Amino acid sequence: MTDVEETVEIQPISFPPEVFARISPELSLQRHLALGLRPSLRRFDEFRDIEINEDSLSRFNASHMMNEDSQNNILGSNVLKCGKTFVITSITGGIIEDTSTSLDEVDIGEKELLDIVEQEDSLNKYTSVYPVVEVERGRVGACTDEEMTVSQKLFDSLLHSRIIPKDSLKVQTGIRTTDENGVSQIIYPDEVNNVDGNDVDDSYKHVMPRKKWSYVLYAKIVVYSRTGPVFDMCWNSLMYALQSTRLPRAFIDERATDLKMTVRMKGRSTTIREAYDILCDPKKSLPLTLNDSNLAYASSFGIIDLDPEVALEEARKQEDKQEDVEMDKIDSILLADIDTEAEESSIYSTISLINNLKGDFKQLSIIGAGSRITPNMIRNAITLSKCRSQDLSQKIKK
Amino acid sequence: MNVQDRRRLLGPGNAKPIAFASSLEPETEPLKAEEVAKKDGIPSLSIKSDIIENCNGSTLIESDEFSIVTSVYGPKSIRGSFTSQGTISIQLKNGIVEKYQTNELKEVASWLVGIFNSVVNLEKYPKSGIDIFVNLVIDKTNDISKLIPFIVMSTCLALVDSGIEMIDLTTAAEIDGNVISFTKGGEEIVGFWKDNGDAVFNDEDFTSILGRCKEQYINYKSLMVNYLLQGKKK
Amino acid sequence: MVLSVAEKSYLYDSLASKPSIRPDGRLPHQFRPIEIFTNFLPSSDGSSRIIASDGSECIVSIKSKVVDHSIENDLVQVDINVAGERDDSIIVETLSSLMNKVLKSNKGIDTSKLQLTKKYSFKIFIDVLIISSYSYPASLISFSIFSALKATKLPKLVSSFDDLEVEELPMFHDYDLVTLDVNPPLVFVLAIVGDNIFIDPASNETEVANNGLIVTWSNGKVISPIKTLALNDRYINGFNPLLLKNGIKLVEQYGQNIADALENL
Repeated sequence: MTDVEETVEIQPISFPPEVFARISPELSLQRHLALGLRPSLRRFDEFRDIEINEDSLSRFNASHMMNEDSQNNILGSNVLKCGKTFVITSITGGIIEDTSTSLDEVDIGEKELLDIVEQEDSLNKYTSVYPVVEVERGRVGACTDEEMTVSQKLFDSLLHSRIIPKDSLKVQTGIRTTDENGVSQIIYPDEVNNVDGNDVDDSYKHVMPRKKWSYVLYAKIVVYSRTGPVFDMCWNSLMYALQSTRLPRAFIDERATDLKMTVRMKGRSTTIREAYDILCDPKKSLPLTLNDSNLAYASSFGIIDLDPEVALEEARKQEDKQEDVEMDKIDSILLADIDTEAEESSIYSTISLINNLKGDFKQLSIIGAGSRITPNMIRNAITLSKCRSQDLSQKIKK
Repeated sequence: MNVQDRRRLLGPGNAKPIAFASSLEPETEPLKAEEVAKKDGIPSLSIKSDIIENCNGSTLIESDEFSIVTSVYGPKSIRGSFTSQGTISIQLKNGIVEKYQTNELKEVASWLVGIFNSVVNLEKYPKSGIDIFVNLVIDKTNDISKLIPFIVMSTCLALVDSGIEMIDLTTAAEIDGNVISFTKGGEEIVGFWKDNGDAVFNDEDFTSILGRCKEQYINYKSLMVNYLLQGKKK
Repeated sequence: MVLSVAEKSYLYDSLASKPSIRPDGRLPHQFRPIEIFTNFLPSSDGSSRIIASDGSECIVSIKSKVVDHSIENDLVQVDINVAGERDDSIIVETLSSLMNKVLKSNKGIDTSKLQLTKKYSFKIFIDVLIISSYSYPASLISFSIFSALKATKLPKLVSSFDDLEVEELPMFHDYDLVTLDVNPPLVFVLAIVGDNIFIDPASNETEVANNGLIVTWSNGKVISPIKTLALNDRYINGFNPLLLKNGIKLVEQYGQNIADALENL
């Protein structure tokens, strides 16, 4: 007889933690949580620290060599490092002709109408930047869903946070004059006023262009080494970048200011186009005025139900004592600042907040995907996010 | 891009990008003497590997003039028919200031593929692709020829970091617009790039340029070797 | 053409041997025969069509426009289309970057030859269409651009040269044309096999080349861009630095013959 009796021993396979986290992220996460830790070894309510390097790349930053680079068109920038991830935000600008008639030129009847509309739509006074988010993940081709949704969310949140008033993007044009010696000089009427104290504005009024322009701001946000959700980092980096943004002074050439179109019609079409070309001063700039009280920072939380079945023996023993007290209650916990693949893929319930220093919300979204979200948790999240905002706002030098 | 990308928030179509007037006073030329002294020497570099979590290998090389982030993804399986050896693809990306045209970047990228095809042991990786992304995050040189040696260096170090088998460490040297990439201790050339200036290739000049490039290459290479050995000790 | 491993090995050995033997019996510096037709497109200022003996074919059309050269700095612009390739494919972008560098204003083409008046110049648009190509087409493109530019006739200026003071547009003669007198650079593709170097590699030769060189030649001397070129991804390898010099010398030696041949069409 052959020895069929031979027992087949089944050896439990063990994996190193990183392999285990990869093949069974949920189990790995639960095991960690049962021990009172997160896979990243952070506490449940601990955020990752943020390091920032503000405005080292922009054109108008005098402390850096970048401003010698004539091709540099960066108006504000920020490099934000959070854990392993780093985000580089750069703000560039464009100029758009204001086609909406300015208020002074509208007759009274229309103005009243305009007032009514504007009261209803006070959001109209604010604007946003156009963000393009790129998350590096070793692929080429069309942008991913994440990149698109993060960009859209940044755009909407910034607009509704009422941080950038439209007025602060108005271009106060200067004029470049060239005297008979060929020496050109740029005059900004508002600067002249400030120096002399008296109203010189009138003397320039006849040469000032009748057209109005405003700046448009673009943000390019590149995320390297993505380890978890990126919205918070993008938003915070954008906040820092906007605070460092300086708008270049812009001017148009004297020749172009008072030219009648009829005169130019004889010339080439190129001269007409050239006439209203607005140029930016390579040296002079003004800081971008933001609605400071509305400056807000983002933080996010995840809620996950603890699965007592998964906890290891020792941890379960400890829990048994607790379970006597709270019977039949599924524990859920609040985790601050979700990171790592394990947390991202197993946590569906999230709270995402953007609030200012006082704790006023600019944005709040709660997604309750099955987990128990108690009022206490929401309260906790709000308190934590307020602390986070205060902490983050101190990172930037004023 | 001539087609409007509707998947992105691109802002109003009639906005013109900011154009800066050229400076009123002529820009001061950088000191010549200093430049000559610096030419053959090694600029102070800061090298850091393994900085990007979600890839197989990465390197950051920085100096006062530039900052290059290279990440290697792979070897990963490719779709389609069987290939008996690995395929390298390289993407070069403009950093925060969009300096170079995409076709120029692609030209450099395809040139780099030639170099790395000859130094990476591709037979080891059948039916796989190795994707390399080079980000020229900051660049103040305004001349891609000056940057190429460091692009080659960072790509090479990122490949080492990813554990992909290589036949030799390669790097490039740049003298007077001549970029030469060597292997085998300077015995062989794997890449040559010259964008500007006449080629005065009489015997004397050729030997002198070749010699200076070789010297620079050996300096850079020992820098890389030192860096890699230090990392190993830790 | 896909060669078997044995065929490649045989080909490699014959090319790398000393003296080398090319599969079609050519000398190292010898080109394959080409056919060129010029000025066959009635609506363009100059055109050419080039057919290589392996069936590679390329059409070039030259058009021009009057521009203010104080605004427009680039007076030559090359657009390349390759049949069956997307505009953003690597081969198209690489070739167009290369050809634009070759013909870059003031280096490749003497822009003073394009100047009309003190204010205005001709801007030349070169459209290249590669109908079929079996080996790296850089040489073919540059030969057809060369012959198209040599055959280009532009309208004759009748208004005055000095138009800085008077606001006037250049006026042209109704019928008379002037031949554009420029000397565009030529681009040579060389293949390196072992310690040998060959001009104008055919497709089977590129398959076994250890490396390739792109060398630009203009007016008797070699100019930039010069660069190495990976002709395949299997045989590619490093090469002896002396081969770089030999390659450049080879082009310097025979470049004028090619230019003469193309000019005397």
